[in-house]
Amino acid sequence: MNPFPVAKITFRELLKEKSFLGLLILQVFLLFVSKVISNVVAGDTVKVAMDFALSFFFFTVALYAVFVSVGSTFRDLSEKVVYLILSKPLKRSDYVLGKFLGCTVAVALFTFLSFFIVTSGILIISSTANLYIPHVVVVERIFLLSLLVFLMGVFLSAFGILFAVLFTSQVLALISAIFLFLAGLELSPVKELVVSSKYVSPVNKLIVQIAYYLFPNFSLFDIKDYAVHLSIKVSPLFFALVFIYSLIYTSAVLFVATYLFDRREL
Amino acid sequence: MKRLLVAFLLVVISIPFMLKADKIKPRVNELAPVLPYSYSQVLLSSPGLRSPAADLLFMNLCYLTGNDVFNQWKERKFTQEEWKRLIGNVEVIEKLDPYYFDPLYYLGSYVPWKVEKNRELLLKINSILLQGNRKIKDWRLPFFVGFNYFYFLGDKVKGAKYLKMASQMEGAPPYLKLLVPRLYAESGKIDLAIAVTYEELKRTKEGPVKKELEKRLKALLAIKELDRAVKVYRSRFGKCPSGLQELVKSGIIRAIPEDPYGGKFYIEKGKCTVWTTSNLRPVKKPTSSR
Repeated sequence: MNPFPVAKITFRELLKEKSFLGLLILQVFLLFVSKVISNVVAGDTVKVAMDFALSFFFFTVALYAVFVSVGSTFRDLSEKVVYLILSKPLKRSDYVLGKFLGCTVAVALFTFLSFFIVTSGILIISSTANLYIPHVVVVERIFLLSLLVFLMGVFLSAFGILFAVLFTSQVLALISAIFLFLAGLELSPVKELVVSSKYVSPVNKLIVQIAYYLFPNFSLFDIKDYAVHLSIKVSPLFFALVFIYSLIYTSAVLFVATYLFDRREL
Repeated sequence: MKRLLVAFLLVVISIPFMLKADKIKPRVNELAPVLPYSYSQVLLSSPGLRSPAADLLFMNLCYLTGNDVFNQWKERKFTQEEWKRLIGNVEVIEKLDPYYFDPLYYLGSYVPWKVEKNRELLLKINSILLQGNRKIKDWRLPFFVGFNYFYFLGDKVKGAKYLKMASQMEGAPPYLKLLVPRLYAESGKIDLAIAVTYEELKRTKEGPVKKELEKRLKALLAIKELDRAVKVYRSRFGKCPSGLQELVKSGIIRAIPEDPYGGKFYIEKGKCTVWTTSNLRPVKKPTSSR
């Protein structure tokens, strides 16, 4: 048997979740918040509105990916659905893979709809802004950001499933995934500060560098500045490298998740 | 329903107590001070939010400056220490979001007037603006640097250097091309002024700016010629001539050239260099009164 039936069920189940629609409505609300905040600042209000709107978009997709992956796996385990599924001729690893694929499709749909909402909002804000020098909004750049945000969502879903398999408490799994995400975002600036500081001991520098290499680097997916400032250039190689990196790392996480789930007592 | 009404009434009754308590509540400090922000602290406390953090810092900076401008704090104005912190905060903003132009515009156009006597802060402003210019290719940034050098710091040569940089950037107004040679000439660098004018003439298309540059070049070449004559006179007689007429009388030059701007060339006493009463600007002819 293959993992696709589980993926199909997971996706259908996630679409019915209130969090799907709830977070999309939150996106619309946060767009209004971005507009209000941008009105307070002097100068290029569109730039400020974009900074906030894209940051909200980035974090909302990350939260959705964590919630659905942890929530969906835990629900199966707590409501004993997993027994029903595993009574069929299906490997445990196929179940984990199916969950992951279902989450991936749900994250893809969520990211696409969020991209549509955020881009429409930004275009409206930019067309109504009264600027001396207009801020040009390039939709292709926001789309490229969305692609990376989607990859990040997939990456986080894998971690969400891993933590759901690893921990017996849902809250602990959620918090761990969110902290891992924040740590992954911080590692790059932390390394930048620590390596250039003369007050940090060589041992601590080494620890930070090891952590930098081993921890998932979520800051790679953050190209909001590229979407906002047209003078920033990004080579296509960057996108290819990020794709390969997330593919390899996600596979590694899924291997660990399937290994743990195979040995878990249900 | 009765319970809801009672609850509502209780909330209404509590309002005067709340208002009175709010009035006598101890407040820490009504004056909003300019806090110095640290780049590393802001960076570490805002994961994935570098740009919004920069936006918020700039908002705070605009708010504080607004208070200072509109006298919101009664008689209180920013101290030089607070301006120093404010300049430091712009530097933090630029580290967080190196492509953010507005804080640099604020820094270049407004802040120097507030710290005009503080050389150290003016140089700090210039270094932040030049740092910003590495990422943001906008002519206004080197223009502000050049302006600070020649107007506030009194260094016309450096001023001209950065104005020249600004004049060669996209979108720069044509008058900058004329300003650069004048600054060099005023600072005694006639050769440099001539070289810059030649260079600009090659690049400038036919039009009013080209005509102005030709006029400027003519005046500069005349000054250079007269300067050379003054040097010959000094080597021959061991003193500075008292006027340009002496150069004609001694046979070093045939006649005193005309200033194309309508002024008159003269020898600056003390420096023994040639300059013009027009200051390389068109001299307005006096209108005859009826």
